[in-house]
Amino acid sequence: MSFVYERPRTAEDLGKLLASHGQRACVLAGGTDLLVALRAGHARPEVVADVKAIEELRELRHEADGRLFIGAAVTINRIVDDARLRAMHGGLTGGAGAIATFAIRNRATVVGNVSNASPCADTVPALALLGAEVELRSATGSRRIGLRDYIVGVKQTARRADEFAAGIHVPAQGKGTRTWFCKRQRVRGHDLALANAALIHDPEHKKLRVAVGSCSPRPVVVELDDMFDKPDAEEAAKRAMASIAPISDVRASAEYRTDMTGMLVRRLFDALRG
Amino acid sequence: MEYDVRITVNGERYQARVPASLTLLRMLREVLHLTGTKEGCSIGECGACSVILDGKLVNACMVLAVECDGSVVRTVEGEGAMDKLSDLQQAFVDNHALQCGFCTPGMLMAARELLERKPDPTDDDIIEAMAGQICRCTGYETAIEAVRRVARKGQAGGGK
Repeated sequence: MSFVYERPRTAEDLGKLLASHGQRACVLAGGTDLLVALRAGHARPEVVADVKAIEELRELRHEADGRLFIGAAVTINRIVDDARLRAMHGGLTGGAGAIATFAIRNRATVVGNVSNASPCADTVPALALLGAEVELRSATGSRRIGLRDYIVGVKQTARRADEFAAGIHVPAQGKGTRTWFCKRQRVRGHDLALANAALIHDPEHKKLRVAVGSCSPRPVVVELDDMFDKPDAEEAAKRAMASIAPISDVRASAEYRTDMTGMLVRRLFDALRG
Repeated sequence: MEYDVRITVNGERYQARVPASLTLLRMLREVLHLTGTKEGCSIGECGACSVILDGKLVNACMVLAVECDGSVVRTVEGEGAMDKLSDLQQAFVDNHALQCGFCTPGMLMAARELLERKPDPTDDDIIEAMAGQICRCTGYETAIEAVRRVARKGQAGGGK
């Protein structure tokens, strides 16, 4: 395993690196997925481009109007520790805090959690509900793509080889919006989700939705706006269980994941009722 | 490609020329010969390689050495001295918190970082901080008790 390590100072320089190396380059942020892939030989890059020296990608920015930007170098623990974010988007910080272990969360990034495109990523359900967009940049331009279009399959994103994910944009939410996160795992502390889910309640727009992870290649969002005035946990659980397409694997059977999805939705509705 | 890495470990300055693919863990053990930090799983699961990098607990197997140029690292060698154990080390001994000892360096660093961040941790804080440290001997309770005792005595910061 031999590669060139680059530490560009600007997003422009990173764009140029990817323009010339494309498929032969890997972007490094926290490294908690990449180093495992390098060690296993699943990734064999000629160039590893570290984003952590790029000042603008280190930004976690709250705009006055409630919009949020999470740069590609922002660690999971930075958003868990952000008191304002915890108050605003409990479903996002709750999901973030449920990832792996404290030491991993000190390195792993939010953008990395999303870009790894694992179906069990714990930040994805809340981000999907919040209408997050991923900003993709290259040497020639930039584009924004909705999170649910960014994740195109298991471990696959819409990112081209000459692009990098610069960050995640979360739009301003309706007044009084709250989110919650819930996860089913085998052991407390350090485990991947067998199923995970988030709930959004937006009284201004009468929006009520659930997102389910670990139970389909891409995040599933279940619209429950029609029951906003009369939330029905049993009906919501039923609809969520009908919307997913779980597989059986080493961690759980499809049947168990389906049951757990119903359980998580009922728990989220318990949280909603307070 | 090889790169010069300047790094401060437990207050000592080192400079080494390392390949880009070398992890911080391998550099500590094989280049700087600081073998207190252990290699367990090498994929961020077990916590045996936990060190404090620029004030933050990390798994040294999950970090490239080249990423650490200019960084300050603390490892288990910085706990206590040859003739005197640190408060945490002594508490681990007193509470039978280790048998084979392989996970102990990581456990100590996780506990040290916790006590510096939260000098008066709750039991949940201790459990969360130690959750990434896998131990196949003791069953965790004794290690948690050791950290609890040091915290209750208010002796945090007893490392070198």
